[in-house]
Amino acid sequence: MKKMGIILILLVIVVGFLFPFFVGPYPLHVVTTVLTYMTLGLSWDMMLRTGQLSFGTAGFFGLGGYAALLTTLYLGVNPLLSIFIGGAFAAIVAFALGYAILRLREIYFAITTLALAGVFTVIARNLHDLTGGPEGKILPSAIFNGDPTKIYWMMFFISLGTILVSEIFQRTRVRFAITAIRNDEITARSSGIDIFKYLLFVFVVTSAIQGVVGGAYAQEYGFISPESAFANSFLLLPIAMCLAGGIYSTLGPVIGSIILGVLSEYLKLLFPYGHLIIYGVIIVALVLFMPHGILGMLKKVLKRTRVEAEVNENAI
Amino acid sequence: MPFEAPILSVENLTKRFGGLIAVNSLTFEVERGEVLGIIGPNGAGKTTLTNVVSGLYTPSEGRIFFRGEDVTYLDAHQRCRLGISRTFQLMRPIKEFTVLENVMVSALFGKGLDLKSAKEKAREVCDFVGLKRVNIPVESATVLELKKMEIARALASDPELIFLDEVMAGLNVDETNEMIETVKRINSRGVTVIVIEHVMSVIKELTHRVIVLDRGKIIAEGSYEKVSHKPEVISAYLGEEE
Repeated sequence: MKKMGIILILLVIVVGFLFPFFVGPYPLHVVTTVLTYMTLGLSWDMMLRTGQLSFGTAGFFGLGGYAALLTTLYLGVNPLLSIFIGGAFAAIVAFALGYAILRLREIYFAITTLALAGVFTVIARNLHDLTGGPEGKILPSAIFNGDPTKIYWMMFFISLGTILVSEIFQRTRVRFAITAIRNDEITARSSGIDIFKYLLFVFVVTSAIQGVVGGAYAQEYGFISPESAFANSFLLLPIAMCLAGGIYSTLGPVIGSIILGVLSEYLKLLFPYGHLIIYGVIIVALVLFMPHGILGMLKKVLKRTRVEAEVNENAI
Repeated sequence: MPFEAPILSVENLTKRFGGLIAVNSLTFEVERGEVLGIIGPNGAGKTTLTNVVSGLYTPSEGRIFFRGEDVTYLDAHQRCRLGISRTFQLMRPIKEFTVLENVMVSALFGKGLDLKSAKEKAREVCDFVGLKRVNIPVESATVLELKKMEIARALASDPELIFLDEVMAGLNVDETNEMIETVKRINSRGVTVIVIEHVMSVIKELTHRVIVLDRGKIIAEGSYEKVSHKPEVISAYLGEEE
């Protein structure tokens, strides 16, 4: 069973890696976009596993984008390397801000993170000499000269890395710490868990991921502006995808982003006008009728069959 | 014999909630290895005292020393790691975890073990308190099992001092007797035990010494036989005569 799982995972990685050889540039671009949202969704979900609802996703995404693009523009840093500078910059900002705002809880934390993204936008718009203000900045060329295959591989490896981090969170003591914190902070404290330390750790790691994705996205287009870097879609779509797929897991956001991401493109082709309305209705329906997401529903069905199997076993 | 500091020493401890003084300038010591009972009518400040000493509340005034070390401003998780453990009167299990995983949490973080040793440690303490079904989700555990799980969780961090906040409440006679034996075995492991309890027979059976609280103050202290005959204790429990 375990062997099967490993073979399956390897198969997915190989197929994912060879994907560009099977499809044309358009589907490849769609999948690259899906992977971008998947990574953002996973990072948002990882923070949610601690019980903290963050609306800062787009904020750290944009910060990473600016840090990556501007270091390439001004300092001539290799674009691929600059992506990690984007991640590092987002991590440093998250560390400093986290010290202050991780004392907040629930809606207060959520609103503060939302406000932060707004503040970043205003700063980017007004630091004219550095960021180019509202018009933004443009690089002479996109990363890999805009080669869609290499750009896909870049996002593919970033996604793999994020999935790996998410699974490490799920399989080590981190899972015990953050699940305990989410369920009951008083029990967690009384059992020796340093809540603040873990919240800060997860906040910094997830912000770094968002910064890396933002850096990659900015380099993909060789362009950045406040409106593109801090767009609401980088906050709301990943959340919708997680809710559709199922929260508190690695698989849920992955499934959700693939289904909603592909669906969104398909709807665009079917209904060039009004596709977003249908998309919105589908998201609302998913959240209303599958409160635990697609994965949650699958688990429920599986559990029912397993319980039945157990009952049968006990009867024997 | 070298001088040994008491395991717990509390000086002028006060906890106010707005205008309400829940714990009022308490001073007492707990000797290593003893079983101390804390009794008193509802609202006397027993649970507040537990919360302040275990670190969930910061005291309004006063100091707390553990093994001679000032722990007044340490957070609950730091005190847990130092060796102060507690159970909750209103049980607070982590509902997404199994019984064993609940116990593992404090072995992992209170004692700082890795996953594998924490699992072994959790199995050991579950066995010690007589928990047999450990791989079941918390929601299918019985009240007795949950109470045992609370104690197991508190023990898994290898504490030197443990607060048991009304662990006998709601148990029948057989279950209570089993629990009394468990507490005795915890104490014979070398753990200092503070029992907060309403059931007097339990206090009589278990404790070496009793502190009686009323409205946040100590009104009597001594052996159970001694305090149970004091008129102020009787009037605190039964109400004063008109």
